[in-house]
Amino acid sequence: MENWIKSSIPLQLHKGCIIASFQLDLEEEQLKLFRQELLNFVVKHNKIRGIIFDLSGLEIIDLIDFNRIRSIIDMIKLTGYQTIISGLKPSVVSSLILLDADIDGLNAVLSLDEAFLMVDQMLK
Amino acid sequence: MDEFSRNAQQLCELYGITSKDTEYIQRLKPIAMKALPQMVESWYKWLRSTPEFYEYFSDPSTLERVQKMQFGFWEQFFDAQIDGGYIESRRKVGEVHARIGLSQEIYLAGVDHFLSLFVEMLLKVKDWSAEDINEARRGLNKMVHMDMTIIVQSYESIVNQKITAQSKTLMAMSTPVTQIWEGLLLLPVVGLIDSRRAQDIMDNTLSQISTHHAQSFILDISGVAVVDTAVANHLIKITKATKLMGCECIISGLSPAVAQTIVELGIDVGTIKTTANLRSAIEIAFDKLNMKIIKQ
Repeated sequence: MENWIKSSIPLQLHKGCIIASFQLDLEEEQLKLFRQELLNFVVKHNKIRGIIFDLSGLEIIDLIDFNRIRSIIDMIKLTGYQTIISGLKPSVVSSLILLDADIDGLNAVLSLDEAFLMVDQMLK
Repeated sequence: MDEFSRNAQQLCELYGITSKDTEYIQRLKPIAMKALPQMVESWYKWLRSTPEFYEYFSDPSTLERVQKMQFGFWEQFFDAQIDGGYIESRRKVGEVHARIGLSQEIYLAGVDHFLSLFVEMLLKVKDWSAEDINEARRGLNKMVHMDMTIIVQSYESIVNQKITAQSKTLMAMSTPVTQIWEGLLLLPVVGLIDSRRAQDIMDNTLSQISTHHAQSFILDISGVAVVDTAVANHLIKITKATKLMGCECIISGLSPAVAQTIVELGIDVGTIKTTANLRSAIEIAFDKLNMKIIKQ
């Protein structure tokens, strides 16, 4: 299981939070790999405070990509953790709303700092 | 001015103006110049019959200046040197018309009147054969029409520029998102919300949230005249969008009528935070920012 091809989405641990930074435009294959990596990571570490998706590197998110990200968030939920999305660009949000994306129940903030604050609040 | 896609040569091709045509026009020049003062006079006699005359030429000095310009205009016309400078001078005429707000109607009627004066003049030419006169007439027509095109185009472009500038200002004025406290934005919406405006409001709001890192956003709709299903949906969309930016949206200023409509329309009120007045919205926002307003 250890010698998967790695997706190019880096996972880092900071203050007990997993931070996944999405830098390049998304591709299906890559997201699948990332999904496996992340879920594996979450299940293996048993002292996680929260998970943060840093989407600030993405200029475009279409509905399909968004739904894939959403489904990853739902999967993480099954493992008992909340995910926070950080750094969505105004233009991305605007187009998602225009596409009628279902955004109910998502936690989103503008910066990593605010994401950590939100993690703290959630754990209170 | 991108609207003028054609240069002098292309315009000539478009109107089929050949060197033969311009030669005829040039040959007409001495005759026309002699007849011109009388023609201009007769033209102004015609113009006097329109209300526009009194609007633009009530001042005698203006009249004199414009008449002088008209002489220059026709002199250039009969020189028939169609080049960049010629086109530019026609463009200027259109611009001036647009600036003073002269209607296209009166301008086109005026040109037609002048054309008929020219034809009258042509018919009085003695030593030309009928064929020559016919050719010259055709050339005159082409040239005058080309002039008209350039003038009308430049007129339109000025008017369009004016309209674009106005609507831009209106758009900027219609979504005045302001920061009233650190992390707190306020947008009072006045008037009608249609889908175009809702989109503008959303785009502007999102970019302001991003620049100010706002955590709360108050949308005051006490000045919105009508809230129907479409408007309510737009409002909910704006609320959702701000949430994705990590910002909480509070809709304030809900009138009794609006509250009734929203529920009667079957809109899901679970996801939106609303208050009756701006005051309570501000209190909620400050609460979220962990701040308090106290009396000294």
